[in-house]
Formats: sequence, C-alpha cells, structure tokens
Amino acid sequence: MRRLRAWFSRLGGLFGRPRREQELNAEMESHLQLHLDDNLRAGMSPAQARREAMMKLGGVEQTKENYRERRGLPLLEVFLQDLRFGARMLRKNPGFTLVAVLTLALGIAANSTIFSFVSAVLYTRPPVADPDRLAVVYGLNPIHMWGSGLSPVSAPNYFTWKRENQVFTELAASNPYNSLNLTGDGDPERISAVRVTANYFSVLGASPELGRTFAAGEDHEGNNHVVVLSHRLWERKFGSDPHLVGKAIRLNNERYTVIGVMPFQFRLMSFQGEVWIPLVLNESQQSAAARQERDLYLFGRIKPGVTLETAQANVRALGALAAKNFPETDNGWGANTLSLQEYMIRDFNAGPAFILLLSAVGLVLLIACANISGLMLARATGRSKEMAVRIAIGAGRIRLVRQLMTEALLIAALGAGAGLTFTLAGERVMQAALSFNDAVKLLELKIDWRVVSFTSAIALFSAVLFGLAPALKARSVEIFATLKNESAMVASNKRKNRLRSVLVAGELALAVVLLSGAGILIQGIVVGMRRNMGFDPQRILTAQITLPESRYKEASAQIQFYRELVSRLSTMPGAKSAAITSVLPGAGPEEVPFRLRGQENLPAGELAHARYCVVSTHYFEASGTTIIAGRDFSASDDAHAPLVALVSQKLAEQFFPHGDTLGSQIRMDSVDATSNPWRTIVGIVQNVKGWPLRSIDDPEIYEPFEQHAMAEAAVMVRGISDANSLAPGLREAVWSIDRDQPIGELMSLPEILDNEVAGDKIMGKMMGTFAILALALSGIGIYGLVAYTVGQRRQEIGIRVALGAGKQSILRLVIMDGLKLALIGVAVGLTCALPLPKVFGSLFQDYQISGGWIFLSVPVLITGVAMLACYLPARRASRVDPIVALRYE
Amino acid sequence: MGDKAADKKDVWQGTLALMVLKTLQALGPLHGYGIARRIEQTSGDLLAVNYGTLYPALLKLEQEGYISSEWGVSDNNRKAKYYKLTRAGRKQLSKEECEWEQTTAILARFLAPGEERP
Repeated sequence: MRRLRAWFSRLGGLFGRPRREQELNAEMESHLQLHLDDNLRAGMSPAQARREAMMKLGGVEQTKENYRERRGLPLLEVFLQDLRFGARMLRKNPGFTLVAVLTLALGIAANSTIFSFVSAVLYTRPPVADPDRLAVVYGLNPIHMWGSGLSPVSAPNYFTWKRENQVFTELAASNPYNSLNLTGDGDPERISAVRVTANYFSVLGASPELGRTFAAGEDHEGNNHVVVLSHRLWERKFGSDPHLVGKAIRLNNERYTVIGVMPFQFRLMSFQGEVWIPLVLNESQQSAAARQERDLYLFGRIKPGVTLETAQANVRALGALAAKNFPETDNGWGANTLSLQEYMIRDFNAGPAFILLLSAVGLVLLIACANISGLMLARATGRSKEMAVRIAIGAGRIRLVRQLMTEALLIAALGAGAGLTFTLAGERVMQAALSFNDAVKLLELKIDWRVVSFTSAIALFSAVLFGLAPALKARSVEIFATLKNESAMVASNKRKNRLRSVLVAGELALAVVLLSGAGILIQGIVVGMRRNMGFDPQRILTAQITLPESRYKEASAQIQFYRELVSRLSTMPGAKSAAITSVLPGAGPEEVPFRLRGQENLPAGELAHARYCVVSTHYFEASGTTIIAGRDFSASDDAHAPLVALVSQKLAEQFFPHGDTLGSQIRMDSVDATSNPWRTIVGIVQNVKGWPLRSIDDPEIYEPFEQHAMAEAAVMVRGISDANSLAPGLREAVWSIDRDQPIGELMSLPEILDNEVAGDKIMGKMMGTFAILALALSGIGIYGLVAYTVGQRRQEIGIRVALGAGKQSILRLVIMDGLKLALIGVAVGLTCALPLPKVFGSLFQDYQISGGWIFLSVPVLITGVAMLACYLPARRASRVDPIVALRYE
Repeated sequence: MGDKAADKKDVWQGTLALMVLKTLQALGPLHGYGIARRIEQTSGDLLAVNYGTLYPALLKLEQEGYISSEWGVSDNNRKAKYYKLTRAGRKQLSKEECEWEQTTAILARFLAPGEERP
C-alpha cells in the first residue's frame, strides 16, 4: 500500500517541475541559513561559517540531484527525456523523418490491410444464436479434383445420422442451390432458393423480422407450399409491403403462401438465397442413386455439455459406419463436423492465398525496416562525435542504447499512425476490388481493436528490428579515435559501412524472393489464360433457362421448347449460331463418375470422373470446338435413334490407348442405370478447359440433348459482331414462345470467364504491387548507401582525381562497389527463391507453375535497378572538383 | 576535521528513517536542519550525518505518508520547512521501535559472552 502511494506521489513528481524545484531551492537555502546562524553564534567568521555549513551538507548540487531522483521515477523520467530529445532530433532532420516514417507507414499499411481482410474473414460471426455451438456436418470426398474436399451429404445419410447421433439436440438439412421462376407482376424472374427442413431456422436460432418461419410438418408433401422471403427480395420485388405475410406468390407456376420475412442481417455466406422453401425428403428412399445424390448441408445444434471434439468423434464414427454398411456407394467417404465459422473458413478455401499475401507483405515490411535501419546507421555515423562526447562526459553506454531505441520507437509510433491512415484507404481499395465475389462483398473491412493491436505489435517489432543495429553500434563507439580526428575515418570506411552493406544486400535478396514469387504466380495466371481453352468465348451471349415442372414436365415438352428456341435464336438478325448446354464451357466443374464396358461391377468409389455435358446439335459449331475424329451430333440423333456420346481427346487417350475409342460403349454412373443407359462413342472432340486457369485437361463426355432432355439449360448465341447487342433479341425469342418464362444471368461468355478468374487476377495484382513496392524500397536502400558512401569518400575521390583518375574510372569505382553488393544480394535471394515453384505448385494445384524465365529475368531486373541506383551518386562522384573536395573538411 | 569525520560512522540506510521519526516524536514539528543536528547530538557526535542525505529520506517518508511538511518560521525568524509526524507515522514508529528492540535483543543474546554454555 505504502509503496503504491509513494509510487503515485512520485509519478505526480514528474509534473509541476518548476514549482517543486523552487521549493527545493528554498529549503536548501533555509537549511544553509539556519546552519550559518548557528555557526556564527558559535563564533566562526562569516566565511568559515558558510564553508562549514556547505561541507556538512555535502554539496548543494549533489543533494539536489539525490533529492530529484527520489522525487520522480528515474526510469520514466529518462524515457520522457529521451522522448523529448528524440522528438527534437526528428524535428531537426525533417527529411530523414519523412522518409523513415513514410517507408514504415507503407510497410505497415500493406500488412494491416491484408490483416484486416484476413481478420474479417476469420472473425465475422455468423448471424445465428450462439454460433460456437452450431456445427456443420459434412462429408469428405475421397477424390477431390476441385476445392477443399468438403462435400454435402446424401438424404439417406442425413436421416441415419439425425436418428443415431448422440451429440446434437437436432439436425437440420438444407439444399442451398436451387432456382425458382418467380412470376406475377412485372417480368418473370429467376431467383435463388434454399430448400430447408422445417427445423432449419430453429436449429440456427434465427428469427424472422416479419411473420414466422417454418412449422413442424411443413416439410411434408401437401403442406409445403409456404415460403419465407429474404429482406432483399421483399424490398426489391414487393416494395417492403408490411401486409405481404399471408398472401400468395407464384413460384414455378405454383401458389406459395408467404409466411415470413428474414431480417437483412441474416446472411450466411455461401448458404444464401432469396427465398427459403421447405425441403421435402422421403425417408424410405434408400436406393444407391439416392445415396449418391449428395446435396444436403447439415446443421446441428451441439447438446449442452458436449464438446466439439466429442461431436467430431461421433460424426466420424457415423461416417465410417456408412462407409462400412454401404460400400457400393460410400466406400472411402468419411464425415466430420466443424463449427459453422470454421467450416466457412475451410470452405472458403482461402488458406493458401492468405499465407501468400501475408508472407508477401511481411517481406515488404522487412525491406522497409532494413531501409530505415540503414538510414539510422548513416545518421549514427554522423552522430558518432556527439555519442563520443556524451560517453566522455559520463553517459553510460546502456543509456545511449536506450536513447537510440527511444528514437526508433518514436519513428515506429509515427509510422503506425500514418500506416493506419493508409490502411483505411487500402481497405477501401481492397473492398472495391473484391466486390465481384458475393461472399466477400458481405465482409466488412474496418479498423477494429484487432487491426489496431496488430498494427501496434508490428510497429513495435519493426522498431526493435530497425533500431537494434544502430543502437548496438552506438555501444561500440571508440571515444578516443572519434574525438581525436575525424578524417581518420576515411581509411576505415569500408569496415564502418559493413553493417549497412549487409542490410542492403539482405534487402535485395528479399526483393528477389518477392519478385520471383509474384512473377511465378502472375506467369501461372497469364499462361493459364493464354492457353487454348478449346473453345472461343468471343461474341457469345449466354443466359440460364429453367423450365418450370408444372408446364414442362414431359421430356417431349422440354425438347420442343428448346428446339424451337434454338431455331429462333440461330436465325435472328446478328446471330451466327446458337445452342444449349447443361454446363457452359469454362464455367466450372461437373464431375460425374462413368463406366466403360468391362467395368460393370466396379464399386462406385473406384470409378473415374469426367466433366459431363448435355448439349444440343450444333453446340460445337457455336462454341468453336473442333471435332477431331468421328462425327458431330446431328439432328437424327433423337430419342428414337441409337444412343450416342462424344468424348474428349483426353478421355480417348487415357482410357483407349489402343485407338479403339470410336464404337466403344460408355455410360454415366450418377443416377440410376435406367436413365443412364450405355451409349456408343461416335466422335472425339478437342479438350475444353473446365475453368479458365486450369492447367490440366479433364476427361469429358458429351451427350445429345434430344436423347437426354432437361429442364434447366444454358443458352449460347454467337453473334456476328458483338454479344451484348443480341440481348433484346434473345429475350424476345424466349418470350415469344412463353411469356411467363424467366431468363437468368444474361451475360456474355467472356464476362462470365472474367468473373471466374477475377479473384486470381486480383491476387496477381496484389502480389505484383507488393513486389514493385519491394523493388522500389530496395532500390532506395542501395541508392541511400551508395550516395552516403560517396559523400564520405569525397576526399579520397578528390585525391584520385587530383592524381589523374578520369571520370570513367571514378564512375566504375563507385558502381562496382554497389554492383558487388547487388550481386551478393541477388545470389542469396535466388538461392532462397529456388524452391518457390514447388511450394506454389502444391498451394495452387490448378495453375501451371514454372520458374524458368522468372529466375532469369528477376536477377537481371534487380541488378538493373541496383545499377541505376548506383549510377546517380556515381555520376555525382565523378564530377567532384578535387580542389573543393580537398579543402572540404 | 577530516580525520575526525573518518572516525564517525555513516548513518546507514533504514535506521535513518527510524531516527527521523523518533526525533519528530520527541521534539514535535522540526525543520530538516534541526532534525540533522538532533540526530548528531543524540548519537553523542559518534555519527556523522551528511546533512544532504537527510533530504531524500525526508521526501521518501513524506511520499509514504508518515510525515507531512509545511513552511513556517524558526525561533530566530528564518523561513524553514517544518516536518511533523502523521498518525500513520506514529503507528509506523511504534511498529519499527518494537521490531528494532527485538532485533537488538536477539543480537545481544548472540553477542553476550558464552556464559550459558556448559
């Protein structure tokens, strides 16, 4: 207690200094007077009396100093004193301060911006009750060509797990990717819908802003014509009508009663739709086909007292049991569960990108620190006389280190402040750049306490990093040499600058690593985009059509609609050809297992997968894909003709190495055998990329639409001049056949492909930006060092010139010094960068990764920049006037 | 004078605070010079108080709340800062006195010629 009181009192002693100082003076004065009076009374002479009093006191100044030390907190006081001194030094060198603070601010802003993005992804809480207790149950795909391997679950497994698990109070299922035709007032529209079991909202713990959510039993046939709207649709389509609940709307030409509206905040990243309707599942459906239709996302509320680990063990056991009981369909498959938030992060599959971006900005910060450290070292050399004087009059070396570290802290604090301002701008740019992605668009990037603490932490770390070298160097100042003669330094220049040289070489090495990394990545993207896609997207307009079951139930009706549509589209003015397909080329995967003759009894788990497309006649003409062998589909390949299929060149090479592709038989294995009978392969087509950047070719299988009717299709029209002018004609063509038919996603194919690679492009751009930043910073670093060295060597250069050295030789002398450094840096950096292609190859499996010319061009680029940075000061050195240089001291 | 001072013992830390408190208890409010003189006299001139060391000690006691200070006027009309005991100081003094007596008693027993040994 007492100590605390004393401490506070001493803390108070830091302030109000002048008044206290006066009081101390007065007390000392009064003490001396009292003593003097006594001494005079004792009979001493005035001079003797005063002398005796002073001696007894033991020196007025010492006493005062001791007293002051007791009054305040010496450590803190010294810190404040250093701070004041540091601030003065920084004010006196505005150029140094500006460069150091700006450099650091850039480095910090790059880090904080990326961090705020990562933190937003990791810490945005889902809008559900007690999100930590809400788990997503998912399947694990043994063969995952795409993405994270997390898979939805089949309905039979849902029912079994719902019944047999011991860890969830309830298990709800949802099928998030549906679309419905909304008709009624205005143009018909296609909206996205999430089908959910009746307990979905209660498991999530989400309540509506209007009306109610689903009641038990509404997910059964007969009761299921009820719909919950999202806030967005309610606002957009129904003008936020507060009396909408209870009214009916038409979805897929059927009446649905609106029972509720969910609030705006209820958004679940990728599980978002515009409406929710009941998911009707039939528990008795246990066929192999049903087991293979994995399209349910399960949400479970973990029982009180059960940990996530217990829940995971239970779900894993259930998954293993399913694999054991149904080897036909579930062999190799597993199951697991994660909290909703963790699942979203995993599903988002951003890990590699995060790691990459964070390492890149980390390197930028390191380079920035090296630069500032170099600047401080240069200044320290300039201040070595000051340091020597301080030591000579009694400053402890630790005290000097402390002072220099305080200066570093001051720079770091200023840098962090400026860095946060830049971060604000960086977040805006990032948010704008990422708005193409619906899931990311929902993220709120802001400067919260996490970002501020992260910024402070890296600022502190940087201060230690760039302050340590100069501070340690101050400890080893040689007083006598420094005070005696400064010009003696000329000879030992090299040794004195060694630390700075190491820093600059290190910077260049880091820049090489970063540039190589960015280069490899960008090259992967560019090469991927340049690669022949196997089709020509130019001038193609696309739209999504889903025929409602109520009107087009029969295959014949579907075939008739699309046949009519394609013929109208291909003859409309400005159009060259038209077709429909189940999946647009390059627009993503649809991997489906298939069987060849001889594989009839292979378990489903061991089948190979192929990209699977159902296309209309003339599709390959419209997409610009070449038929390599055999024939194209023709109008005669209809429902009554023998069943046929086309395969890609890759499939032919991989599965028919003996060239007997044509005439062989193949069948898809996704749904029951009856709807996927054996087909004869009649042609081989060029490989088509499943995704614009995919570096490997997948096996592909095409079926003719007239032999495999479908309600949902993508329409493609190739124009003569451009795609977008075809849009009115396309709408007109659809609505002239059926006025109530909605048209979805009317977009040109290049636009769709652009959207797909937008994320990769932005990644490449960001990496490129950071790499250029690193290049610029390290260029400034080497420039600073060489310019400084030249300044120090003025005299030496003057002597050389006076002795007859030509401009060329001076130029060469300076540049060679810098070049040596650059080459060392490049060599070290290159050694570190060599494993990068391998690392990237495993992180981004889709890309075609190769080092190749990157490892050639990056060193050349860096060396070039370094030489330019050396040339400027070298030129100045070569113009040194020997008279001026020698007089200068 | 120098050789005379060398014979005197320095007032060691810790005990100085006790002496200050005791002096203030015995004499009431007193200025720094007076306290120094009193300690010197009481010790029978055996202790050499470097008067300067007294002031940080006084400040420490004040910061801890055992004494308080106030400007006043001395007998011969000099302005001086007077220190006096606070209630906390009185309590602390009796506590420290007690402890000190115990310590000296223990030490005395150790230092007494070994009469209790067989």
